[in-house]
Amino acid sequence: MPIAQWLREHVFLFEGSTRSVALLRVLAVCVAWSRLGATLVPDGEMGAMAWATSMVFWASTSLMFVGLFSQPASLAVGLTTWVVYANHGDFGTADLHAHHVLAQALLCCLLSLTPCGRSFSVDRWLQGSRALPERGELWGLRLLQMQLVVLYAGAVWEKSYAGWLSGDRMLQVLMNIYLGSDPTGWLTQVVAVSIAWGTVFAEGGLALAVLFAPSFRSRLGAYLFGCTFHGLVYFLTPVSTFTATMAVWLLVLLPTDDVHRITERLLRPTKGQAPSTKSRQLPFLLGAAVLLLLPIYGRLVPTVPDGSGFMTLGEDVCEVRWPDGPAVAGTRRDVHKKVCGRPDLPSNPAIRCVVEGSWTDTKLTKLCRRLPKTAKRRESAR
Amino acid sequence: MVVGPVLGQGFGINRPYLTAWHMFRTWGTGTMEVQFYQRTPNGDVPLNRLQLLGHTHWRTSGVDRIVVKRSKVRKQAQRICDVLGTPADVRADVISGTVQGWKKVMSREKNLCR
Repeated sequence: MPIAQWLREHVFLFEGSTRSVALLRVLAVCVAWSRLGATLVPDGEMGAMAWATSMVFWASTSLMFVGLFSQPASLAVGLTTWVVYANHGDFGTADLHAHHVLAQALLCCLLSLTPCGRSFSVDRWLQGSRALPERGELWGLRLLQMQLVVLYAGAVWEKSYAGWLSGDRMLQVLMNIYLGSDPTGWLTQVVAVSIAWGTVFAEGGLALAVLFAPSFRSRLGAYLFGCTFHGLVYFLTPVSTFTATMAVWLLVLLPTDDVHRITERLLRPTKGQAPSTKSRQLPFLLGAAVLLLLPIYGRLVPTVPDGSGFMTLGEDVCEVRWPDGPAVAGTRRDVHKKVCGRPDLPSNPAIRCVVEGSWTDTKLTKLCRRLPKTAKRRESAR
Repeated sequence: MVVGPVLGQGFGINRPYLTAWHMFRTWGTGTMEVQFYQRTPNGDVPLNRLQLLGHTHWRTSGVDRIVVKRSKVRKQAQRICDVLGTPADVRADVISGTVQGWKKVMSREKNLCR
């Protein structure tokens, strides 16, 4: 078959079920919220540009999630994510100028080129009986597949050098995350070499599967393998966002009509099942009793919530003012960092902190007392 | 989609507007492998670093577990010297992780207790 004809049939005029891209649309928003949500919650230190990006991000991700004006919303999410990637300084962390944020931006931008609002969406619901069938032109899906291939091919290329293939780089990673700086034995080195080569074969295999896997079974196998591979990376390393993005993106491996068939089976109502006659009063009453009694029980047992969480919101916020100088405000920890041990700042500031819900005058010596260490957490998601 | 990776990863031409999938390239680099030795008249005796620093297992060794700076090697050596008492002669073999593999940093040239 001539190439032009093949391209016409399998790319430019490619049609299929829109449920794949609709699922991608919903899951992409979940990943975006998990990574960028905390960063893009507005706060007092954000500049105007960051505020605007935050507002657009929350509005567009909400629309994209429910599927209202799905395609423009997807484009907006992609563009705001790219703004975060390019202007990471406005959001306080260089960690945002990384491939995992770029991958999210690309995913959403490419989704906007697909009819991702034609299934599982408010757009479809509003159309009612006029709704188009859940099929559409999916040349945008071909772009998603192509980008995935390029991404995996780039990953393989990036690892194709002696430092990685000898296992040395993987050993450094294992030592950094788990083993520490003591010399490792031959078994650890064998494991490191195996993982190093394994990732190259896994990523290369996934790229080839997207392009060449002939049947639904082989594609399903590759999809499950890919999700397992990325799941292991998520579980064993501090790489979370990129892993989740890839696991979502891998949906493009599956033939669209097979995804439609699977979702249809999952959503199809069961026939011939008589309604249950069992009373659900007792479980309901027990559950209601537990919820109502929690605030009482919670005060007695420190591990049980007692509903007082919001009472301590804003607790330990401090404000430091000088007569002719700047003012500093924030949590006690933030103010401590900015004010304590700073001989360049004027002396005798007026300090007050929130204690048990009320502003209380505080002395500098008390503010600058050594703070308790916070519990160490795993590195933030990447 | 293709131009960025080809130029960036194939030819090393990286630009902000061209995507290239340089992923995890430097992650883990700087991690050092450290082996301390006590020099004795009978030769160099390998030392258990974490045990001499007061830990029973690498999982509970906290900040002592990982070394990424030369200054930390010297500080840990000093603590080991204090445990061994004077006159101790403690030396270290240290290699540091780089993108290309491992790079030698120390080869037992100096007595770290001085």
